[in-house]
Amino acid sequence: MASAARLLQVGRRVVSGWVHTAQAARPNTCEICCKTNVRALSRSAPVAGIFEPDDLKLEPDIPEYPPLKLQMRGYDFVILESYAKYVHGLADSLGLDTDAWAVPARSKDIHTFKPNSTVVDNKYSLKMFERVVQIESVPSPRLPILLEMMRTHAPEGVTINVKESEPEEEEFRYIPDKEMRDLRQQMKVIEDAREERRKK
Amino acid sequence: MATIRVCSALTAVAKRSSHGVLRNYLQLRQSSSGALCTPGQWQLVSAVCLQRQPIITAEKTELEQQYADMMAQMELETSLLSDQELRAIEDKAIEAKRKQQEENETGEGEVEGARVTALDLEDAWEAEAKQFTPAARITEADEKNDQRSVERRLDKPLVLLVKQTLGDKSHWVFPQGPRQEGESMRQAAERVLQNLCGQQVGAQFLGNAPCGFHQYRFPPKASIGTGAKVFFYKAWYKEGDVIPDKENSTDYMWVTFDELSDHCSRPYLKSIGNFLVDL
Repeated sequence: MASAARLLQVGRRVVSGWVHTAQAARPNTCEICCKTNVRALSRSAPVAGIFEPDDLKLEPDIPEYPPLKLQMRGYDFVILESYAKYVHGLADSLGLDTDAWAVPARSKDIHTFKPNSTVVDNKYSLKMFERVVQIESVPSPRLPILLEMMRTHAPEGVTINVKESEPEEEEFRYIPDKEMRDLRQQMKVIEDAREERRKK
Repeated sequence: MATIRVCSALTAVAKRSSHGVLRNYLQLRQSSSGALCTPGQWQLVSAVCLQRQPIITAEKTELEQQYADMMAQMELETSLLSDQELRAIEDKAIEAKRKQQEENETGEGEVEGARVTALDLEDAWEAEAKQFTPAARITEADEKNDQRSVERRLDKPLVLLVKQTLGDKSHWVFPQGPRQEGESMRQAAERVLQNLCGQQVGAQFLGNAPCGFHQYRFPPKASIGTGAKVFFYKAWYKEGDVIPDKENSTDYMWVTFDELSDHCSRPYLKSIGNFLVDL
């Protein structure tokens, strides 16, 4: 039980094994295995000093947008994917750092009823597919060019959203971890029981 | 036709935007306030290229149509049978079996539950489809050739031209106006659009950087400066009627890129042509 608790405390992406924790009584040692973390690869820095180049540019000359997502959604898969490929190639050819992925589709089941009755007339099963192209280090004058080319070549049936990333959308991409969820459920039950005992 | 939704945060990347570069230019120039400036100075003018993007996709050319038909035929021939087609084949088999039973006159007459055949379904779907009438590609505005209407050429991008008196003559230009003290070129462009075309016009400006440039000289007699440098800002038209204010702009029209040459002067057209793209 203690081991499971420790696993859960450390982070949800840890599947197995220990993780060397930074917080410890003694600095630079791990709580769990008492190993020292310090390993210096080179000892010249304390002796000769650290070299910092003078011409380092911390900011680009032309201001840049934060990482943006070009979200394309549509019910027609063939057209959507063809357009997403085009947009990815377009962003690459404009010299932007691109990354592209598919987001799991959202299904909709639609039943139409005969007038004034509950008899099902038609059943439709639709899927809203989604493709995302993420662009980074976009110089500010270049985004309007990209948007204009995208709009000129957009096919019918594709909705386009240009925005920054949101945490809920990121979460939606991951398949939920059933084991982790069950463990958390158990933990919750135990803690609730403990609290009830304390109250009594 | 797709519209692109751009979140409002993007239009305000003005922390260290390109208007900073222009600010430095202005400080060097030591320009005075407002529209008037001392002789030997260039007036900074912002203009708005307000575009109504196409609403419907363009018709295919003959070659494109032929190619599309050929590709569709090839795809049909190499594809697997759909559920509907399989159902039609099943229907035929059942029909053949039923006929055989009749011929044999078994007399048992197994009447199966009324089967909805594939053809019945198709007839029902066709009837449903006939109830839907799509909107016309060629609108009223096209027929009347009403150049003030936004619903003119739905398959082409339209751009707003305004009749402005610049100096003593009136010209058909994109709505333009001089930059005033304390504002950036983009802010000047937004103000110019509101003033010249009315408060109702909704536009999505694309970025803080201008998309084009044009310069012209004033007549020396007028002594209001050497000339004007016009910076064009692109904006997508969202909604609203254009109501020109009678002082600066007397008339307006929505034209396609081909029709621009009928109204604009050659040097102006040359500058515009650099950023107007009709693919």
